[in-house]
Amino acid sequence: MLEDYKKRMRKLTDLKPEILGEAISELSRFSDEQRNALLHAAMALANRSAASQLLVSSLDVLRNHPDAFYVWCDVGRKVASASAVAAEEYFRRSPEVLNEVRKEELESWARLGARIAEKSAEAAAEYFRSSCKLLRTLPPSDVIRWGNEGYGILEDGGLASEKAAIEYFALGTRKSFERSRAEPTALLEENARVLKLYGEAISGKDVDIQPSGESFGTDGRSIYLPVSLNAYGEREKNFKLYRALTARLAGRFAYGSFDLDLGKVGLEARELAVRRKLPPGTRGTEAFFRTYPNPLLAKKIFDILDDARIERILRREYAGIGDDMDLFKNALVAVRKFEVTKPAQAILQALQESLLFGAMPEGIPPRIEEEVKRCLLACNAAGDRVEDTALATDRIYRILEGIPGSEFEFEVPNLPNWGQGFAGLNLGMKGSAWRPSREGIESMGTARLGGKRPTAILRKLLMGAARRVQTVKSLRPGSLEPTELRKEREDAFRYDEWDCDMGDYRRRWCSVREVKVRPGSARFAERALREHSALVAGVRREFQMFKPERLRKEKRQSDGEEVDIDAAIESLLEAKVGNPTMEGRVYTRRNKVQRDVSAAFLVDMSGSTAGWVMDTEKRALLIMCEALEAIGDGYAIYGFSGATRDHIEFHIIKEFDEEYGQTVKGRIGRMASLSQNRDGAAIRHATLKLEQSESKTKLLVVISDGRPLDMVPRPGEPLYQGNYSVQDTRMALKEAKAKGVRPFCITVDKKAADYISTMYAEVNYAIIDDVSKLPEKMPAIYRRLTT
Amino acid sequence: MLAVHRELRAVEYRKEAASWKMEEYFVREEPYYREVGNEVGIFEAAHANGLPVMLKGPTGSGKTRFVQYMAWRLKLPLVTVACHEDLTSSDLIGRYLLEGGETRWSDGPLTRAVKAGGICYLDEIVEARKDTTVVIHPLTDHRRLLPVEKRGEVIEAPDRFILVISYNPGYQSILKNLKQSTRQRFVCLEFDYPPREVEAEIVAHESGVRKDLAEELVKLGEKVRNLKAKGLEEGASTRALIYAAKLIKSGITPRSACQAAISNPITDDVEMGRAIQSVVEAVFP
Ligand SMILES: Nc1ncnc2c1ncn2[C@@H]1O[C@H](COP(=O)(O)OP(=O)(O)OP(=O)(O)O)[C@@H](O)[C@H]1O
Ligand SMILES: [Mg+2]
Repeated sequence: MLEDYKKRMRKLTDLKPEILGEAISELSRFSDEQRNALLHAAMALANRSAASQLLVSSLDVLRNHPDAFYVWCDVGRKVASASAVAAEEYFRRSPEVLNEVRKEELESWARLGARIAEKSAEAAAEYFRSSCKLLRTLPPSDVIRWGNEGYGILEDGGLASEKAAIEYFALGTRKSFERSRAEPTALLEENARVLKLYGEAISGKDVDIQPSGESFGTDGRSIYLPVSLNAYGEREKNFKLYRALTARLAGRFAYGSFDLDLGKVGLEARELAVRRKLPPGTRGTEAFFRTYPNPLLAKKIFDILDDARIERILRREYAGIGDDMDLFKNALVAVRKFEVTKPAQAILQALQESLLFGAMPEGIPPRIEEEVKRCLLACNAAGDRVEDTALATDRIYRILEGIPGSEFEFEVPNLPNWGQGFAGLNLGMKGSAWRPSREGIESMGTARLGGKRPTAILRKLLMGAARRVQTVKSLRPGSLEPTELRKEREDAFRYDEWDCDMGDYRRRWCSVREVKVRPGSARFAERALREHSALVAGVRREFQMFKPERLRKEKRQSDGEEVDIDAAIESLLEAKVGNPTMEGRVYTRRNKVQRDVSAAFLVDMSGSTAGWVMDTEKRALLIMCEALEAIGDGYAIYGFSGATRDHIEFHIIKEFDEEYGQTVKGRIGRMASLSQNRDGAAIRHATLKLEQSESKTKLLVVISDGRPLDMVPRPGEPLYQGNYSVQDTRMALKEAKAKGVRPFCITVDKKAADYISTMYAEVNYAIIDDVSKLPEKMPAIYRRLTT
Repeated sequence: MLAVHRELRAVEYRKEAASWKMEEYFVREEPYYREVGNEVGIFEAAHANGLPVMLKGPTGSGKTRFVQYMAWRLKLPLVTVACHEDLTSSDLIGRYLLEGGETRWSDGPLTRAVKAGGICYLDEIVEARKDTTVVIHPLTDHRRLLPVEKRGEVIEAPDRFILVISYNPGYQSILKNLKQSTRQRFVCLEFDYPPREVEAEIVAHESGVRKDLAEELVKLGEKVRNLKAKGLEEGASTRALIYAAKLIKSGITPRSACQAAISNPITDDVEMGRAIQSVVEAVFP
């Protein structure tokens, strides 16, 4: 059975066997019957990405909504038989929708989608996309009614009606927002940027905000917030609740929650480090937790105490933050429920409530109350440093340890998790109750898997596989067949290369061949733009704002529409004293001011960028495109890779005179990590391309991830590595400058070492140590460069 | 209040030039200036050695105030020119004027400052046209000469004369940047918003609010400055904080005052404004 399944799946997703093997083991929790249902749906899909989406979502559904699984597969198949595109969207959105609706409602929701798909795949895709958002704020019956109305438009038949329907469904989102204006719910989507900026102002660090169902928390990288909040009857209050959550979590960044270093402060902390046998120099909380027999318990205590520490500091530092904090507490009070279960657990929960609300929960058994008081005493003296939290954590851990029968009961979390990772508080959302969220359970259940959620792992596997397949494919045309080789020589561009050992150029050493990238589907692009929609909107707005005015009056021209009075008088007077210096420059002329900027983006597509780096670079490029369209600068996008000096491929993603549209988006989507990177030659070719543009300002933005490197050996020739390649690249940049091109280099090399300062000695550059920031940073850098 | 100091735009100057006397350029009362580093000493040394000075720093960080203070301290007349993109070299050096059928030469602000041996302060020098920056070159090296092309003269600057320019690197751009050959002619003093304590002292002094309120404002300023380069062109300046303080002093609530003096002016981006106002609300109840 499994073999058969594997074979069929492999065909389906075109993956390598070993990767698929891993994927299958992820799927092992499926029963045969379930697999069959899944397969049936999958077989209806000819489309690989829809199939991967199916695989990805199936785990979600199986875990969280097992009772809806068969219906889910079944309707999926119906949608798939109408359109793979629509089905992909269905599979992507439905797990989320299942959180909002019952099984029966899912069915009518999806069947309507299938019906729409029969008429128009695109409209159906839009329908699934939008309705899923609508379901967050509207009852399912309303959403179905809305969908039926759209279907009505389609029924009129014809191309125009299809267009109208697509628009209708796409617009649904915006309309729903308008509707929700009257409603008190605050949506993360609408507030994410404000909250991000707020968090950044407070913490002074970069803040990344991610939606996370109904829970909130931080893992030291991102801040996770619920997708919507409606704890209060006023939208503004719900926004303030968001603000309170953001402040609490950003506070952890600001006040060092992730930088625990016991060796650094005071005697007591150093003693603790010794007692816990922490190796000297250890930093961070994880290692500290791991010194306890029950690390989870230690973490739990730490999180509760640290949250209290952050609140204490925030309240002291920010005199006005109390209102927000109180909103937060009241939201909790409304949903709190004290469950006395096992003693240690009850103690912790009571401790948390005492710290939060300043009072012990009611009806608490006196024995527990006694212990809680001991705990409170233990953290009474707590100071402002994270190390103080660690000290108090240790004290409380030891108190709890002494309570009989409490050793291992924290394996299953049934306390809200305040900590790093996903928190599990339900804030006045549907079915409000003080209960752990799904994510909470998941993050525990998967502790063995290194903390990652299985879906994320699977998604990564599938994406990685798809990428590898693509890489293998795109490498093929570059293979070294003799005929290819000869042909290539003919239409190649020859460039010198600087040999620093010789102290001279190797003449006509490199040959660069232009490769027109075949456009792929624009789906990657569209998805990326959607995911970054807030950023895109912001960047577009920002770039539009500094678009120059149309006309500018130039004074003191020798020719023009009007007389420049000042200049005329001046020249008259000069004539009178017999010392003319104005030479008839007495007119004003209205000149159309164009921002006369042309920019070429040159992206290193070598193998080292494989995976996430390339993916992020592509996203950044897309956002740049949006920005540049808004401001109207001319731009081109090139990529480069290759092996040996005879095979340098210069990939054309977008030429200056090409329009930004589906084709270009498709090409960006197809960019992949290939082989070596001989930066010098590529820079020289990009310079040539820029030289042909007539703009006054010619900007060359080189995006790379480290050292220029071409390690494919050729007998008797220097390898393109080390100082040799660094010096050649430096020369190429210098040449570019001499030709009136202004290079700017962005490197995402984490270990951006000393060679950088040599290589970029002649030019400006930026090191971005966190690749994920590239989509944000790139427009900012560009803007700074050109305004 | 401070002694009247006339900050001139070159355009205004052109009209009234004839009626201005050099004494009017003296700063008579001591301007309040709180030294942050050792800028006073360096400036004096530069002046003593005939070196020109460049003040580099964000808006509202005290550059203008510093120059006023130095003018008072060294008892030099101060001529200020706010540079803009239409500023020509004649605007700086001088031109012929028509007076009842007669032509009469009129010195520009730079020429006046040179002749009088005072401070010529060219504010926001990058805004000026490229050719304008070139006329100051011979003044800024050891020659210390000002060529007045239109009259075929060259004026030698007296020892007392000092040229001061200001430059805001926040607007760093490859299009508008000072050439190395210009930059390296100057002794450069870096201005930035002062440390918390000092800035609070300044805000309190300038606005008359209590020190603890000034400290809260400065804290707000620091937080807003965290947003620089995240969509905000410039952080909240000392000047903006002083404005807010003055409004509060006049009885406006802190939240409204900060909105009017900080959140609103600093950006047109609605979301950014909202974020800043959120910080305001966190700092001020
Ligand atoms: N060190 C300081 N001592 C006293 N006052 C200061 C100081 N720094 C700033 N200020 C106050 O800040 C205000 C703004 O400073 P100033 O006008 O000198 O800024 P600037 O750097 O010239 O700004 P811009 O570049 O916008 O012209 C001053 O009016 C003064 O009240
Ligand atoms: Mg000024």
